[in-house]
Amino acid sequence: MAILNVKDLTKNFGGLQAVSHVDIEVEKGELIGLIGPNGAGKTTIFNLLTGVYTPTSGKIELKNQETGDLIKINGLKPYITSSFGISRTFQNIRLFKELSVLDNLRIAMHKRCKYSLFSAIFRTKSYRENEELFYENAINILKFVGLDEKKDELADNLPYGEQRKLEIARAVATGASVVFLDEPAAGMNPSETEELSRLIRDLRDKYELTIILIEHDMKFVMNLCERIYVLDFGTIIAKGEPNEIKNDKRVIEAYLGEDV
Amino acid sequence: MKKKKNIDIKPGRVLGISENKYDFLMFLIVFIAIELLMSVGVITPFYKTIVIKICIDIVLALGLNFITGITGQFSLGHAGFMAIGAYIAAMLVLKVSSSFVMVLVGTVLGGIAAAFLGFLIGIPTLRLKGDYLAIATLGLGEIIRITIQNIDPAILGGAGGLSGIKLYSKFEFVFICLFITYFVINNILKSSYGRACVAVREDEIAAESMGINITKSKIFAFVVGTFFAGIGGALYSGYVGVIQPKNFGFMKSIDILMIVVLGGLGNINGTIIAAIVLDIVSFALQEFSELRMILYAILLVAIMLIKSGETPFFVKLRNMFSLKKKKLGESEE
Repeated sequence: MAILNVKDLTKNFGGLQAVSHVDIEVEKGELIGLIGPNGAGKTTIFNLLTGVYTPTSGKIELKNQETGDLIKINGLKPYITSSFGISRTFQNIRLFKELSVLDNLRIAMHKRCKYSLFSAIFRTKSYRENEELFYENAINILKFVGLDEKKDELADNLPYGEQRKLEIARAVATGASVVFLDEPAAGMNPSETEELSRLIRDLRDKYELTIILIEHDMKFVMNLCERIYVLDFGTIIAKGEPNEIKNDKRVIEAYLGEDV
Repeated sequence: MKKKKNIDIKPGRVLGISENKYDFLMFLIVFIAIELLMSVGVITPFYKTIVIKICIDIVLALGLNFITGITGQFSLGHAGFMAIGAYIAAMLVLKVSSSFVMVLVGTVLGGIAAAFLGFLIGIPTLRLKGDYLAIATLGLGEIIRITIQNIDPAILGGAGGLSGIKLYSKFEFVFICLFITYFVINNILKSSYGRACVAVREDEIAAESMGINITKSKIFAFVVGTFFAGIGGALYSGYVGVIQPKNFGFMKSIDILMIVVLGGLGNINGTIIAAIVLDIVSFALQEFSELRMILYAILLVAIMLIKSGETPFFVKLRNMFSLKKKKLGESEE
């Protein structure tokens, strides 16, 4: 059964139909790519799925991790969808810049905070245990992405590639089951891109994630993703495995224009 | 025996937060030092009032720092919440009894009442951002002040205020309140609740996507901040003995904000130092009577200049007064 089920999703901004009648179905553990020319509506779809925007019509359903049934999540605020196991990164990196790498991850774990304000003020046992758990969790994730030695550095002082990695690590740290990555490889050089694609695959295997990503780097998408959705003018024009997409006539048209 | 793991609970760069084990010692040393100096007579009763004023200002500024510096919500209504605490404590001490227990009850109740009002007011106003929030809180502070002024003078004394309040804000009491404030705010900051507040300041969209309920965090910060405003107000009424609505005007909020900005937004220890510096400066300038406000203002401008940016102060000064136009590309040394 699908972990994420999007049916007939539409979003209008005034007279502009940014996303129209989009259907997406994602199985647990899949690595999905979402591609399309600039302005096709990719990020809008991410914003709809994570709750930043409310859909005009349509249905977004997410499988509840515990009970296993589908819950409708459209129109819920981001912090609520986040509690259902959705997490994301941003196209233009949005880290907590003035905070340390470690704190960026610990903030992501806030919703797993079990202690009360009272125990925070008086440093009770539950506070210490919980904080210890946060710390260990954060360090584990940082080790996995290779940032554990920089845990005390300010996020703002990291080089660009590592900021991208930290943002992915932060998304994983929320304990999400579905992670949306918005152009994770933007601005990276080929060797960094290759490292990133290995990292994404490893993270998926280790934390049993379902990953959906937007990316313009075709080589990256074709190598990494198992299935690809192609978006143009707010509608899905093709879906399938990388090989099918590469040879799809409509996709080539969308990117290169029609034959004269 | 299992060795206790040394866990690191520094909240990154919410600047100037120290570890608790030394805090307590530090406060104790300062407390004993001041007590000793008072008993020897180095700190005369006049200087003692300055010390008490500094402690009260620190309590107020730490509260505002939590709202403005740490959670990033610009509030200009701090004096209004201070008034709530001041009037409640003063009324209880005047009308019920002036025993120490009543003073304690009054202070705590003052804090709680201010926090409750902060909660009620926070729900609608904290949806606003930046300048709009500043204006809204400014208006609310004034509403509180004017309401107190216009309630039947038989109850709250109207514009004349309340007088003859027992001067219960003794140094020991105020200092303990200061320590509690510092302790509570520091510990909140090192918890997940504090980090959530900092996350809201850093990036609301990212914070919300990471599962933080930003409205809740903002209201939480507002409640904590206004609680200490109430406490500070209660201490204030026991410090001056006479409280009038005009003491809690807009300028009082600005005074507190000045301490917070000067100490560095979000910087706890900086706030404490700034309060000490500003209060000493304003007391030292009392000799200059008429010139006092001008000198104070000039000093503030100078301090802000020294503090801001990374260029050394003297270079900044030279650039300010240099008539030569800087050529393009010429670097500042």
